[in-house]
Amino acid sequence: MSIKNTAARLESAIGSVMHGQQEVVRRVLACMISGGHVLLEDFPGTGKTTLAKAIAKSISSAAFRRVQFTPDLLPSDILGISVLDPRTQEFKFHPGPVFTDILLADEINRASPRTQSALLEAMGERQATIDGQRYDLDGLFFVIATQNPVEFRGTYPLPEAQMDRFAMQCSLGYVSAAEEVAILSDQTDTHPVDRLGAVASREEILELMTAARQVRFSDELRHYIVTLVGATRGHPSVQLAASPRASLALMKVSQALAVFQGVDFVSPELIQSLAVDVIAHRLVLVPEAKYSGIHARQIVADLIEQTPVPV
Amino acid sequence: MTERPLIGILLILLVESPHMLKFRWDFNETSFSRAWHLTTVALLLSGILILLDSGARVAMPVLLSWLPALLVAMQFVQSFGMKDSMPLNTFSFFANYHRIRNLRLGLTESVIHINFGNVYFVTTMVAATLGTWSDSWVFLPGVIVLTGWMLLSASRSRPLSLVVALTIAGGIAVAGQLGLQKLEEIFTSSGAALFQFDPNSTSTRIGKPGPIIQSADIVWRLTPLDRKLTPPLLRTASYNTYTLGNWKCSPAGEMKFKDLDTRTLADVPYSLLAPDLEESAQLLAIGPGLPRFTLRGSAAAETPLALPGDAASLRDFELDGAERNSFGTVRIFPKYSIIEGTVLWKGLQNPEIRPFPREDLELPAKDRETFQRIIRDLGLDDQPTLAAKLSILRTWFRENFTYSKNPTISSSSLVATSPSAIVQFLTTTRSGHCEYFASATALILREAGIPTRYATGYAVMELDVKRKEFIIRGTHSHAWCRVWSEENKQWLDFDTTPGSWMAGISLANSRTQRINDEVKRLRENFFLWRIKPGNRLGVTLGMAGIGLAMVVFIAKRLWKSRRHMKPTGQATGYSGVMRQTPLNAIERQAAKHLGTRPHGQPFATWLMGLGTSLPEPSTLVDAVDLHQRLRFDPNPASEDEQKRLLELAKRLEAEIRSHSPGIRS
Repeated sequence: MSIKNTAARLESAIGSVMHGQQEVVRRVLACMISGGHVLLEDFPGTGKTTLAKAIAKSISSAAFRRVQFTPDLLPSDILGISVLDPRTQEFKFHPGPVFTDILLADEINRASPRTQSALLEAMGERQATIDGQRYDLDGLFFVIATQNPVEFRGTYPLPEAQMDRFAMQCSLGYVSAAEEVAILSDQTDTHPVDRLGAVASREEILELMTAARQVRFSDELRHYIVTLVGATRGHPSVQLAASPRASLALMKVSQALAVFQGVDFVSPELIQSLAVDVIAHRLVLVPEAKYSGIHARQIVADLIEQTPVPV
Repeated sequence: MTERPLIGILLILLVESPHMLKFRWDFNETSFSRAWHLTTVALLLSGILILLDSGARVAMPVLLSWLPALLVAMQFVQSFGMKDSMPLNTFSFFANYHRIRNLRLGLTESVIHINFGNVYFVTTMVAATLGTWSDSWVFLPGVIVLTGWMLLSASRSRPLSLVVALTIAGGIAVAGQLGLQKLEEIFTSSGAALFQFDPNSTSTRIGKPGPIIQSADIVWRLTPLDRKLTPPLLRTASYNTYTLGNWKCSPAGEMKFKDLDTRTLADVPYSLLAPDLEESAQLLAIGPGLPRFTLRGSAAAETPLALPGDAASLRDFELDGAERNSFGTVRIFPKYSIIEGTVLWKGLQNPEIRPFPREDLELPAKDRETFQRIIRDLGLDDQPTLAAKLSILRTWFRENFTYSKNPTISSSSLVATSPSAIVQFLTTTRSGHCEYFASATALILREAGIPTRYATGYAVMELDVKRKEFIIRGTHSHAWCRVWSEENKQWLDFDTTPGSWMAGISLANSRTQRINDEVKRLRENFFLWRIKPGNRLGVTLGMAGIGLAMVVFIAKRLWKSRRHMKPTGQATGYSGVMRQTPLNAIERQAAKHLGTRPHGQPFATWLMGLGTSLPEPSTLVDAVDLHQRLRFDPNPASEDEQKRLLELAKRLEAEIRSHSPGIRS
């Protein structure tokens, strides 16, 4: 019961900041609970950063760090650096922003691929190796990266391997006029994020994560996921298809979303609702398809339609 | 198709077996295209074969009746494939090419998908109506009952409206069926009923003004053998009773066709000599010294053979039988649609029996005065011999009459008018076509006491010098008289039409006609080559071999690539137990209102579409929730839950049935 409570509290707290974005908020939260990371790709000003901050603020004693990615950002700026301490004559490790609970990597595509890749190990294995020394990251390590889909000048597209580390990619998109009015009236005085207090403890979030892992998943639906992800391989418009990591992510995020929906097993509808967000960003399209306006998200949506679903 | 039950049953098995078999193929657009190419080749080949076999007019219905067999490859990829529709551009090479290019360039293109099963169903229905069984009275009720059965099993609600709909459809079907039959008749009966051959009566164009239009197509080809003698006239039929422009046979008892006698002449299959001759005279029919010629042409059952008036016997024709009536009209039942054989003639005997004393001298009473006056003027009665009488008559016609294909004489063919058309021809206009000449001559000779008949057939007049054969076309149709010579006990051909009539015809030799002739010649040559005993075996073996090799090749490749199909509604590749719930059972019922569930749409989402149209949406919501739990929760469900879902499903089914929500898009 308390699990459901926690989930509901988190949702409503963040929902009070993010007007009209309940669906995306729930997905991003589910992504966090599943242990994955999320890439928010959207136009400037749609609330990417606000969402990340709101999530951080609603969890008490959760460390939040934000890194603004720029072309001159170095891997050590993210991971940390060992500095010689003149008093002890020893190298002392100064942990970077990666050692946190929630990391907002703002405009991730502005840093060089080298820096972008510094996150690879941290995101994939929840550890960082600096100067040959391994450092474990926190149990609740959640990266929210944002990127801007329209400004490409001075950007470096994320390498495929890095893309694959993100469990899902969402878009916030523009909200309805009524919601936008609500946003305006909300911010006349102070920013609602500033008013937001913690609604869940770090332990409660870890509990949620455990609960998500315990959501029941039938063997048949595992086959369905594998078939769906497998369908991207051999698609005529796809050059680089989705990996088994995609199947894994789809399963985990579906389990986490089930927690937020208050059910303790996964249904095919859940999988379908997440498949585009989880699979599409991993696909690399053949140039012909890319330049003629075919979008990976559309390809995945078509595959969902074509793949027979268990009933 | 109904006349080929074995093929029909095989097709039914192939089309319906997917319902019983557990394997499928993952046919994609390439497979559809391949199947279509195969079908096109099959269509083309069988089209050519059918055209060679039966001629252009019959080919279309025959090809249509074979369509279910020819389209089976398409139906196969549809019913054994995983997809339930195929893109429409499968059927067009250019559209397909365009689509592939667009796919390669990544351009989007909207594609129309169709289920070939519907096309196949329609094709089968059309083919069935063209079959021989469609004429029987069981056909239409049978089709309607079968269709009704199919519809009833698809929707159990509103049986009464279905019956009404079926009755209306049945009425339309009857009309359609009659229409199709009529169409087929028109297509198969050589274009128009006018040209249909009747051995017992012929309606001439005597008394009907206007030009005569005849086809220039080749009907027969004749090659003289041995002595290079050629019969000038080939008769197809004789008639002996004239009324108002129509010639008929009488008495009725003599019209009957009897099998040609083959008993006494083992060497020659068919003797043509009159059956009332003694056996010794019959032997003349095979006389080794008789001149002979080969006759070649297309024929169907009951086609009259064009033969000289003194034809003696037939040799080497591939026939199932031949028969003739007392008037010497010979008709055949060929084994194949193109026949070739040898005709022996100049046997000094005739195929017809002696004249009937009354019928062969009968005259239209009103016109007798004119005939008597002509006989008197010409002094026919004063001549001692038949030959002299004929000579005078021929000269008279030649010198006083002109040939015209476009006569102006008009008279009713229903009531006797005065003067009659023949009298007008003889006295005033003195211009007409062969039917006038032949009829007038016959009647005058009868008045002079000579039994005479009216004969129709062809004049042999066009010689193909290069090939040394005579060509007989529709335009060479002719009419003349058969005159009984009491002296020789023989019927003689007597033609009074001025020879100038031939001049107008040989000119009609256009380029298209030459091409037509050449095609027909090729077709006949190929066909005759094909049916020669040695070649026939070779051709059959060769075709069967190629067909079998293709079937084996395709079947082998197909067998290798087949896939076992999971029961519908199960994830691909999953082989574990599939836990169906009672709610799954109402999918068919719900599909009547929601339409078939798309492959990719989850059952629960789809079923919720019923929501607003049901009186108690909560039942649906409860049932769907429970279904999801029972179906997808790996934890086993309690018995209570199962019972409850069963009950909910029953209630839901009843609700759907009783309220039958309107069809939703």
